[in-house]
Amino acid sequence: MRKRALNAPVLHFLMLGFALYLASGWVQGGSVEEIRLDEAKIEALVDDWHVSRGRPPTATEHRALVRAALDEEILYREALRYGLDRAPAVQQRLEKLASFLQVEGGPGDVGGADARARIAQIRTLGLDRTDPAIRGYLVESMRALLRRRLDVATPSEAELQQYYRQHLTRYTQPRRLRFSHVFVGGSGAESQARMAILAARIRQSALPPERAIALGDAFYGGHQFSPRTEAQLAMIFGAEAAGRVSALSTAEWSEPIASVYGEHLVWVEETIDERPRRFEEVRSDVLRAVMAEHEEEAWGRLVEEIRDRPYVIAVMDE
Amino acid sequence: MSRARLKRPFFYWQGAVLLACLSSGVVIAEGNPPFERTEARAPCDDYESLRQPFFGDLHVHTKYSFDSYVSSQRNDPWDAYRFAKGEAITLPDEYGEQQIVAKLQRPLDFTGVTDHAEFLGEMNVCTGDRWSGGWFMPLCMMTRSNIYYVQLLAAAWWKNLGVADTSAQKKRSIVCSLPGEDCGQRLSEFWSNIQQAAKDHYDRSAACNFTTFVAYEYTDAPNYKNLHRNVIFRNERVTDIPISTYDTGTQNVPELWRRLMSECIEGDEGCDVLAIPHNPNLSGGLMFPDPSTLEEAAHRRFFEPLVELTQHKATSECRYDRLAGKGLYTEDELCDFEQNKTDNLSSLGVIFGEMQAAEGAPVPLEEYGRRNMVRNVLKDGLALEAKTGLNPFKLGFIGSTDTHSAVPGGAEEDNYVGHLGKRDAGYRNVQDHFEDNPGGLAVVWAEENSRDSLFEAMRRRETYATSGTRPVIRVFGGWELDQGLCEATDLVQQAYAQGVPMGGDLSAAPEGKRPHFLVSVLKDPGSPGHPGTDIDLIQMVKGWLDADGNTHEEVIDIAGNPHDAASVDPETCAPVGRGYSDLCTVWEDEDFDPDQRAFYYVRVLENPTCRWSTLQCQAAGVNPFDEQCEAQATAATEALRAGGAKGDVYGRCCLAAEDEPFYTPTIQERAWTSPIWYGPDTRGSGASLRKDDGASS
Repeated sequence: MRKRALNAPVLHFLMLGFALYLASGWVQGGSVEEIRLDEAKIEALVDDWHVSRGRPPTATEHRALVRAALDEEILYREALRYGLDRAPAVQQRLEKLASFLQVEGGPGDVGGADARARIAQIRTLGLDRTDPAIRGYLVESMRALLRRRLDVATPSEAELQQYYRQHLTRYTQPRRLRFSHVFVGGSGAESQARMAILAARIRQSALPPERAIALGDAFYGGHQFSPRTEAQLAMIFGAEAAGRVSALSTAEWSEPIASVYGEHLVWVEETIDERPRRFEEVRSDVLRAVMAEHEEEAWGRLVEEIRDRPYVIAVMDE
Repeated sequence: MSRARLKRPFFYWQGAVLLACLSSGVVIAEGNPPFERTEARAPCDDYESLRQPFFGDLHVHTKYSFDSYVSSQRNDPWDAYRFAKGEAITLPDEYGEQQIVAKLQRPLDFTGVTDHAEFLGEMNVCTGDRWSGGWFMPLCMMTRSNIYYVQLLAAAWWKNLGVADTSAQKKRSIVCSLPGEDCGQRLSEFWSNIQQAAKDHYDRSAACNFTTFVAYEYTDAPNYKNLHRNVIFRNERVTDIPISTYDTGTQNVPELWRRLMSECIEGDEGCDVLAIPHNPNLSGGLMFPDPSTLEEAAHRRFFEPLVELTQHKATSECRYDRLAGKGLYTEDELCDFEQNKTDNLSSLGVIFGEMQAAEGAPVPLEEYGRRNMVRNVLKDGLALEAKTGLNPFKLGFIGSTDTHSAVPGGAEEDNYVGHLGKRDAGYRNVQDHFEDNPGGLAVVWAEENSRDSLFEAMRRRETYATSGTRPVIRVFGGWELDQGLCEATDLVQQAYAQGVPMGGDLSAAPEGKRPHFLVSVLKDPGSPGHPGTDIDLIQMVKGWLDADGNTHEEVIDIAGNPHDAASVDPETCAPVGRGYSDLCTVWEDEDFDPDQRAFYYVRVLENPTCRWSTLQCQAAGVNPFDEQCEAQATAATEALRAGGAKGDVYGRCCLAAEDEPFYTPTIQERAWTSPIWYGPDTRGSGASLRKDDGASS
């Protein structure tokens, strides 16, 4: 008997109807709104672009303009839904409009019953929806509110450590060299020849750096340097010489290296290899970087979610 | 000899102004640096006991400054520090669209963001918080507008409100009196952000890649006469709020010093602070008055050991008018470098190619304040010392940019994006800011790149200014410096041992001795694609006071070749002719008189290069060296007018140098080292590598 009841066409019909009812409720999610961007609005955007950049937008830029206009409209409606049009700044603006338009009630008391009545009139006139200052304010406020309310997860210690390991080059102290150098000033063949003779003599006599230095010319930037990175050396000797010095081995005289000042014979006293800075040293930098990543990801998800809401978007063709 | 180290400045002893700085003459090793460590941080790996040059910018504005924000500039202090470290930031173009990508060719070593203290609270209300009741106040809306006319109105409104008027008690903006608004709390929030940005970007690790300073600008300009100074804190101990003209009233800089004394130096253990004045050239003669009290003189000497000698709004070393054929108490023809024609802040009032402010009219030499130029100030300081026993104008030199585009170090002549946001972006730079320039750099000789080391170097004035390039310059003065020192590979060690570096004081002359000065220069090594320029000339500038109380000056060529024919290629601006990659000399003052107070500073000139305006004119198809320049300028201007530009844009490109008092299409970039002073009754100080309390004699 029960089995037959379940197969009854009436029941099927009722179930189908109920299913459709449920389905339509899900599709609406409360409302299906229509956003219309008419051709005039798009033309205005294109004109603005042309005036400011001196050329019309490309196809890609055009699509981006339309997308931005849609996003703006969506944010505007979200702002109304959140009640941001009740914010004090908007009230201020509406009161100013009311005064300017000499809406009945006179200036009177700010915030008082008269003011509320004037604002109500302004709203009746629809000026709260058409005033560009209020519109812009609501759009940006909604954007800011959404960012502020982003649910950005605080990273775990494990995540921080992982980020640190994956971006180790960012937290690595570059290689540094402590060195001395013998200098022969001037560029050109004569200086190179002088340096060649000097270099041969220094190698032959195996002079220690302090004594070898005295055989050459004075370098006004100094002859003995505390540990420096290649970037720091570039600031002193120029990039090309810095690159060559950075590639040298320790405790041997280099070949002559040319800088913008002349020729240098370099003795590296000590090489301090590149060293990753300890996690504890850079933890706050790592935390900042990971939080920034999380925020961007959360924002991206939210933007997509908002765009996926059931809006019917109508762009009227000519 | 024992060392007497003073913890507080000399005036603490009721007007005693002489101080002795005795030393043992021993070079201090790294483990015990000659500067005091006032903060917890790692010592730097590249610590150098013989000191090394660090390049920075101590005058930087971000969107927190009203006059940056109204120029469509939207980078905050964090962005400015990122730029200084070599990252790219986005700037507004001439239409206010955030389109320009700016990046330094070479990062800086240190920077202090110096937003205006005035209106910090109001700027927070108007631009920082859209929930504020003031968001839609007219001034706030105008400040945020991107419409040029509206922005100009807003700028004028702010200026008239608080930084250019002359009332003793300045007015607050109406946004501060709105219900629920608290500009004090808003100011604290922005001041806290400024400190946080400095903290976030200060490298406290042993790598010492970058140093920040918590700082702000004290912005007083009665009737547009510039009395601004940048207040730089040594470490993170700072005053509760940035003391502004709202706290001191206008034309009351001594009150700033008194407050800094009570709220920082004396009021907060470990707090230390400097104030660095700038643009005396635009001060209408007001920047360096004779002090009216001993306290004022002592405070000025203590708080202001440096002056920002060169920056975006022109150079203040000295002034020579080529058309008049004479200078401002000088005959030095090289003083035509980067000068503004007027003497007050209306110099910025050119819009659409025309000066709009009556006060911006050129000021003839006869009406131009003597002490608008620092060389005259230094001379007058000697006279004041003879009269009162204290020289209030012992000024070392730095350069900076004064960028309002949040681009610290943006002084690269061939990479100049402007310093006023939209107002001098793109073509507007040549049109409306032709007289201005990319600014300069501050160079500090310090052991390491940390706040304490740099700050103490600034206190002892071991600094120099450049007009934007990076030559490396050492100067020492002493009685025993050997003539052959330039050939000694340990010349720096010897010089520190036997003399005083730039910024120091020579002791009273030993019997029969004349001062010797060692000057060494390395040319700017350049960067890939941007080679440095050869050195042309080293000059010694001497000022002295004679027995009758009159001041004198002399400029002497001491090394290099003033008569060489170096120039630039008129089509490409490539350098023509060679100069020096390095230069050194030991110069003796043969006219030295031991009874006469004197100062000596060095000016180094590079070979000629094209001015920024020449490069930008040429890029627009207008060549200042071409006979067809004017036709080119007309055509280029017309093309822009079709896109909405107003007024003459490129006409100034074709200005003839012979018709102008100061402008030339090529310049000689230069550097100026802090003076070394001599007085017949002083003990030497700032000397060697010894610890120095900074408040030197």
